[in-house]
Amino acid sequence: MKITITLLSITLVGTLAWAQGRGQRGAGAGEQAAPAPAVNLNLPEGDAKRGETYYAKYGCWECHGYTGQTGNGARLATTALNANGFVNYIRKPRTNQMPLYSAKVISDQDGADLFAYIKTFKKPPEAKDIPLLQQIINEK
Amino acid sequence: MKKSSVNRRGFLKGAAASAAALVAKPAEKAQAQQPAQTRPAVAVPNSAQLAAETGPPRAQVERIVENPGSDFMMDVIKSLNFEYITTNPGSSFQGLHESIINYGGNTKPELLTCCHEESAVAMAHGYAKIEGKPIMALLHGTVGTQHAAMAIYNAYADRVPIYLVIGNHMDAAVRPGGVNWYHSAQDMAAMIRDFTKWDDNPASLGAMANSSVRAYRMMMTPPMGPVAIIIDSEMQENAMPGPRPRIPKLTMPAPPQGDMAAVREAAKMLVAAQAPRINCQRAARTPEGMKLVTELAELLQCPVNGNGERMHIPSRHPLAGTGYQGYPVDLVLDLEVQGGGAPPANAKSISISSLDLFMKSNIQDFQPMSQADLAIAGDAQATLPWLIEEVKRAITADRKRVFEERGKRLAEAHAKQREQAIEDARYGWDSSPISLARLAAELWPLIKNEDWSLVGWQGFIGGWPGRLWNMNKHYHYIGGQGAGGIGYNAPAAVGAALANRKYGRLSVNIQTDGDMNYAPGVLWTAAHHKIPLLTIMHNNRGYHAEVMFVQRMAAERNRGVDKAHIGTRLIEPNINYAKMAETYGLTGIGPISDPKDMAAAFKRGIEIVKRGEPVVIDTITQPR
Repeated sequence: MKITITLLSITLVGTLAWAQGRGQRGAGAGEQAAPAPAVNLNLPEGDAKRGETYYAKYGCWECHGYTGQTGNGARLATTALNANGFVNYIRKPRTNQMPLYSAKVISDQDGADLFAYIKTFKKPPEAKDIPLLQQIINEK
Repeated sequence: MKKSSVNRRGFLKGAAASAAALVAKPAEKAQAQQPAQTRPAVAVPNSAQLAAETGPPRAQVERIVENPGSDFMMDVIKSLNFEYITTNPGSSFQGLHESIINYGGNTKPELLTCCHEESAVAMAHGYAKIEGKPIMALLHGTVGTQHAAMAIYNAYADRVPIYLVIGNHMDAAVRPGGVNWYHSAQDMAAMIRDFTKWDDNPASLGAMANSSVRAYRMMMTPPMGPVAIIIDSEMQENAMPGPRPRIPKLTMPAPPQGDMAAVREAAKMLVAAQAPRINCQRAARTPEGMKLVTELAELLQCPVNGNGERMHIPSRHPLAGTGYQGYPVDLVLDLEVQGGGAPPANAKSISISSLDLFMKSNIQDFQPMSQADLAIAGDAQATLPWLIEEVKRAITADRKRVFEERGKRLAEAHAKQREQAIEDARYGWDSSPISLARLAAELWPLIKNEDWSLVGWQGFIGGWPGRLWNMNKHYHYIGGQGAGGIGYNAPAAVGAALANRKYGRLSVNIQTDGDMNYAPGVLWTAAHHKIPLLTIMHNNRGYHAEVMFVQRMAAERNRGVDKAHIGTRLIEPNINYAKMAETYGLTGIGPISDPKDMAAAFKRGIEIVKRGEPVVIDTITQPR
């Protein structure tokens, strides 16, 4: 038997504002620190095929979903970052929830490959094009 | 067979031949025939002793016990008006078991067969949150109680009443040897005392009657929680020793209400505040609680934060939520909030909580010390009618105009937030594995015109039902585990569905795979007792929160994160929950990994559930 989560049991209208274990430490889950200035990393060209294996190997899917659209993490399928910004971000994440990946763990080449794979993710459909969601929005 | 009213204790003391001896080999016979009181403590049971527990029932001695003590216990239990008893069978309560099914006719309460004591208690947990009253869980000795302990702790932390009756072979002088010693204790309730409200180990039937009624009162008086009555096997199985004891009348005390002077002060503070907010955790004990919280919010035109553990305000109510961005909270009203933390900077806070009246010290479920400026010890729901009256008295025409303006702004913000929350469901819409947002969105149109009840926790499913569905009744959502102990959800959902059954409600559970695997035998209980329940698996093939925790830890230590799946994932082989359901006698549908296949599967599942049966639909899902 185990206790897997720490619950901040007061919740929003359904959006559960609960924090997860160590995620609450320090600045607090989801709290954003000031962005570190992006360093120009002169990244090599990324390879999406290799990036796909890294996406699985490094467990990116765990917080960002298998298609970069779901989960607790940022929606990678619609990221506004470029490759340099992306690798800078994983080196110094702005949230306590996001693990930090040093160059020892994910090299610049691996990072560039990951980003190349992320750029292959499809964008989600617009809500206006999903009748089911429109129906729910229009309900009283 | 000769009738006799011989006392079983006396019989055993006088008899040289034990039942075990009848099946023992000659070499073991001598040992088995020793008088019970001279038998040494046995570390390891011999084969005869094991046979007594695991083999056929002991040969019955020529005696008929008329008017056994357990019949009287049954009368006591019936006086408490339980609808059901959940149990996994055990020898320490075999006397009461027989009385339930024969003397008591197996009605009110009816015995429900469970495959694990944790399921028995968690079923009672789910039932109580729908019905507002407890059922009884019957446990076997040390082993059954330890099996049940996690579920008892969850219920305790969730302030849910559960009536535990635990069998024990109390008297070592007549206790059958071997396994029964392992299953007995001198203080059976000690192992759960940290997380039960009250217990007793009555030494007579009269004391059992008194303690049983007292336990019920203790359990139902806020803060509510599990209680335990230990019943001795000898007392159950022997004939009643004398005149029938009196069963005390059950009179429920009025729940404790907060001090009126403090309530008046709270009302003044709330009316004077520029931007108050109500936080609720477990304030609504009954459907009335939700109405009261909503009434107070409407009077003050302030937001209500808190449909996480119980329903406190309809999810689409314009005052549901935390307010608009930048809402300048200057006063927080915490209703039955454990801990609650510090209020926002420069804000004052009021707390109304029954936990100020009762708390235990060892296990740290009480959370950090409340930062209240005004703390009112009392049950929030019982205090709310008086607070509402005092607020009404204190509102002036000027304040009413301010409230109306505040309400308009909050309503606009709520509408925008709601629309945004629904639009966010587009992310992962076409993804395979299936997104949880789409799962909830596909299910909603199929249940919204039914009298539905979400009987599982939505913390692991992104809270999507709360974002997309119109939750406006107390049984539309009943919260989660209480203490975060996994293994709660599947059995609690079955218990809640059991409570919903008599109202003809459609019970829906979106069930995580990790939780299901603690005690999946509860599916058999649902099938056997014909408890209609639609279970849709959130099958992400792992203990996903822990995958992320381990990954983060490895990243912090700069060691690489590629091994975080070790010890956290449920793969190789994958588990097929549709087949699991079929094995337990339910209809199993799936696995489904294409989102376009969900609607047809859900429709089929709902049709079967509406016929009165449980169904499991296995959907392969995104991690979160």
